[in-house]
Amino acid sequence: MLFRNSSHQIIILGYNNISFQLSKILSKNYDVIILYYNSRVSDYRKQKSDVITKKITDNLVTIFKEYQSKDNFIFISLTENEELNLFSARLARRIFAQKIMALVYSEKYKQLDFNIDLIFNPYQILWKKILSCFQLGNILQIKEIISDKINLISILVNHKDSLKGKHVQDLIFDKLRLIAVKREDNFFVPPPDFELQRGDKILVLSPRINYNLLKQLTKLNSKNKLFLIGGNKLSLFLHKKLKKYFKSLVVVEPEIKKCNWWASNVEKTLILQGKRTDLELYINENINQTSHIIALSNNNAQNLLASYGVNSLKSGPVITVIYDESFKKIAKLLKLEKIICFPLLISRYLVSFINLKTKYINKKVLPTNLTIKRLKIRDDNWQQGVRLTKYENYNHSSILAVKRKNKYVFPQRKMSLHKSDEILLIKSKKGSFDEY
Amino acid sequence: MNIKSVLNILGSLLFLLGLSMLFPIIIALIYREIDIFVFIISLGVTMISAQVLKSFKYSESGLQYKDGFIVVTLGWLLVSFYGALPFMLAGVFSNPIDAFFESVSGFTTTGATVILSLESLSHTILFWRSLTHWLGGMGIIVMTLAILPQLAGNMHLFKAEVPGPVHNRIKPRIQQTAKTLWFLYIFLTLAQTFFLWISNMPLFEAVIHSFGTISTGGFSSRSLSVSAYNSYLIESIVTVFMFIAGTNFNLIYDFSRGNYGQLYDDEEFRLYVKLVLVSIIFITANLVLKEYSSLINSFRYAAFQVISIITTTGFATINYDTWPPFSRWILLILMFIGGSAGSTAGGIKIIRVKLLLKKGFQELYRLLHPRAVKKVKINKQVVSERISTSILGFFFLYISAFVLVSLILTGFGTDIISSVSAVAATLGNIGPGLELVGPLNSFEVFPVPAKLLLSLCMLLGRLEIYTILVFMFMDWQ
Repeated sequence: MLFRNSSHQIIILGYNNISFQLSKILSKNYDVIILYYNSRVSDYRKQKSDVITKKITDNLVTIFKEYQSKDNFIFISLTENEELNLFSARLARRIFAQKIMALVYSEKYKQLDFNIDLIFNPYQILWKKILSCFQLGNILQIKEIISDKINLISILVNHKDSLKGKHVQDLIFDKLRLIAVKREDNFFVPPPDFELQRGDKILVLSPRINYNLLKQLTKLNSKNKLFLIGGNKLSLFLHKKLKKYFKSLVVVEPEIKKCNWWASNVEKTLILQGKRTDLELYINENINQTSHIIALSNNNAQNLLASYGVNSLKSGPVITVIYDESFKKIAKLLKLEKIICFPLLISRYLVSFINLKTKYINKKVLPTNLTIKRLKIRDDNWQQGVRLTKYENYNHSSILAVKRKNKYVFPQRKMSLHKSDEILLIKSKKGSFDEY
Repeated sequence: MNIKSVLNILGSLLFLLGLSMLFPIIIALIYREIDIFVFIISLGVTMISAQVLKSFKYSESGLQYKDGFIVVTLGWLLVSFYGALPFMLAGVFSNPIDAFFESVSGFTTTGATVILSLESLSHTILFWRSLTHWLGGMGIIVMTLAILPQLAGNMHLFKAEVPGPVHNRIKPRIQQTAKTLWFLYIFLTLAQTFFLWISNMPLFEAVIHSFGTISTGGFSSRSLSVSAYNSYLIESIVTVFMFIAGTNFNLIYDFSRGNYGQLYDDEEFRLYVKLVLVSIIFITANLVLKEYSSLINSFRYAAFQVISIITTTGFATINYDTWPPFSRWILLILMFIGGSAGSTAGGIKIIRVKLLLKKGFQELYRLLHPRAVKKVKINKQVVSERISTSILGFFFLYISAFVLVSLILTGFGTDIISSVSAVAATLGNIGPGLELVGPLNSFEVFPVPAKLLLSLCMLLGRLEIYTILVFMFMDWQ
C-alpha cells in the first residue's frame, strides 16, 4: 500500500462477482473500499482480496459523508438495482466523488442525461464481445473510442460482402463513417476515392451497433441457428440483440418456470426444457456446423460441460461465459477456445475508463500508426452555416468526433458547426497513403 | 340466489321493452295504421308485468355470480315472449309458436322468418320486427346495464350476454363500457340510415335495413331482401356496414379515437379480412366458371353474400341456393365460423377458430420438438389454459348441439341438407340456410315442435350455449 498511486481512492457500492474482480485489479494501484448491503462473495474470497469492505447499516448520506474530504474519490455503483446505482452515483457526486460510474441493465437509462461520467450496461459490453467472437458481419473487434458515445469497429472486407469495390466516400453516413484502412501492415487514413479490396481491414465509427448498420456494410448470413444455453437475464438481453442475426433461436433451460416465462414473453424462439448437458436434446434439434452456441447460464461448471459436449457434436462456434476466473483453467483443460470471463471483461472495461488520461477518449484502442489531432473552430475559420462536410479529408485526416460544450457528439456529415466547437481528427503518424 | 333482485331486474328489463313499444306507436301514428292499438295493448300488458316484477325490491347486496345467468336466460325468454305479443294481437300469425319463433329470431338477430309475404305487413309490424333485431343486436342486458344505476359493476351480467371468449372493457367501469358500446351502435345505425336514404332508398326502409345490418340480423322490409332494390350503391353501402358490424366494437372504438394501428395489430381482424378476401376470390372464380359468365356480377354477388354470411346478417342479393356446390360449401363453412368476438355477429366466432387452429399447431409443434415449451398467444398475450379449455368445451358443445338437433329434425321428415343448414342458420344466428330454408324460403315448413327446437337453438347460439346450460344445470336449492 505504501507505494501505491493514491491520487485516487475508489469506492465501490455492491459486492458481487464484478466488484470482486474489479477490486482485485484496482487494488494493485488504488485504495479500494467496497460498501455493500448483501454480499454475494464468499468469506474465503473476501479474505483473499486486498480491499476494505464495509456493510451498510445506515443511510447512504451518512455513509458517504465519511468520505467527504480533499482526497480524489472515484465512485462506482455496481449493485443489481439499477435505480439504486444511478441515485447513489448522483449522491456520491454531491457529497464526495470526482468521478462517478453506474451500472444499468436498461438501455433507456443510458439515453437520459444524469450527468454521470459513465453509465454502462455490462450486457452490452458482453454483446459486443460476442459479435467479435462470432465474427458476425466480419466484425473482428468492437471497442469504445469515446466512452459510451462512439464505437470503433474493425471489419474484414470479404469478397462476398458489399464493402468490396466501395470507395471511402461511399462509407460516410450519419450513423457510420470509415476512418482508416489497413492493407498489408499498417492502418492509414485513405483518400475519399480509395477503393476497398478483399482482405482489407477497415476501421469504422458508429454511435451504436445494430443489425441494419451491419447489413449496410456486409452481407450478413442469417441462415444460422443460435443456441442459448441458459435462460437468465443475460440470455434474454442477448436474445433481443441477436435475434435478427440468426435464422432461428433456441433457448435451453432446465427450470420449467423459466421455460414458461420465456414461452410467454418471447416470439419465434424454440424453448426447450432440458438439462444443459443433455446431448440427445441437441442432436434432436439438429445441431450442426451452422449452429452457434453461447453457454451462459449462472452455473459455471454446467456451461463448461455443455460447451464441451456440443463441441464434440461438431457444432459451429461455441462461446462459454463464466463468472469466476478460476474456471478458466478447467476451460483450458477441456480445450474450449472462446471463453469470456464476464466479471473480468467488465472490470477491464471499467479500469480502462478509470485510467483514461483524456476524459472519455480511449486512445489505446487506436492502432499505433494513427493519432488524434484537434481542430478548434474559432472566429477566423468559422462562418455562419458552415458544415462539417467542409472538413472531410481535412489535411489527409478522418473526423472522429465533434466536441461541443464539453460533450462529444458523433460527427454527422451535414451537422452545422458552432464557434468553439472542436473537431477531433484521426491522422496517420507516418507513411504516405499514395503507396496504396 | 337473490331471487328478489333477479325479479326486480327482470321487471326493469320488461319496463325497457315496454318503453321501446312506444316507437312502433309513433310509426303507427305517422302511417295512420290500426296496429297502433296492438302496441298500446302490448305496451300495457308488458308494463303491468314489469311493475309486478319490480314490486320485488332490489337487494343492496346486489346480484351473485349465478344470478347473472338466471337474469340473462330468463330475461331473453321473457323478452321473446312479450315481444311476440304484437305479432299475435295483430293477427300476423295464427299460431303462438310462430309468433314466438319470429320474436326469438328478431331478438337473437337470427333473421329466420316464418312469414311468407313481408309486403303484406303494416309499417308498424315491420318496424317492430326490425326493432327487435336492433335491441337484441347490442344486447338487452347490455342496454339494461347502461341504463340502470343499481347494476353498475355487474361484470358477470356483461359476460353472460356479450359474445366472445374474452371480454375487454373499453372503459374502466362496466356501465361506461355498456354506454359507449350503445353509443357506437346508435351512431353506426344513424350513419347507415343516412347513406341509404341519400341513395334513394325510402327513409322508412333505410331505417329497417340499418337496424337489420348493424345488428347483423337481416330482417328486411322486402321479401326479396336487398336484391329488391337492384342497386349497386345500396348493395355496396350495406356490404360495408355489414363488414363493420362484424368487427369487434372495441376496435371500432379505437379506430374512432384515431388509434388506426390497433386494427392491423389485431389477429382476429386480420383473419376476418383474410377469410372474407379468400372466400370472395374462390367463390367469384367458381361463379365465373360455372354460373355467370360476367366477372363483375360474379364478384358483386360473391362479395355481398360472403360478407352477409360471415357476419351472420343473412341479407341476400341472389338466390345462392342455386350456386355450384363448391360455393355453397364455402358459405356453409362461413356460417359456422361467424364474425368477430365483441361484434353483433353470431357463429362460433373467428377468435375461437383462430385459437383452435393454434392449439392444433401447438400439438404438432410438440410432436416435432418433444422438449419444447410452447404457449398459445393471441395478440401477443398468452391464452391461459382456462380459456383454451373453455373454448374447446364450447366447440364440442356447439357441434354436439348441432348434430343432435339436426338428427331430431331429420326425424320430422326434413332432408339432411335442409336440417343441417337450418340448425347451422339458427345456432349461428344467420337466418337463411340452404334448400328448404334457402334465402327465398322460410321456416314455415317446419312443424311446431321443430320450430320450438329451432327457437331454442337461436337462444343457445345468441347466448353462446354456456349461459343457458348453466341455467339448466344449476342447483336451484
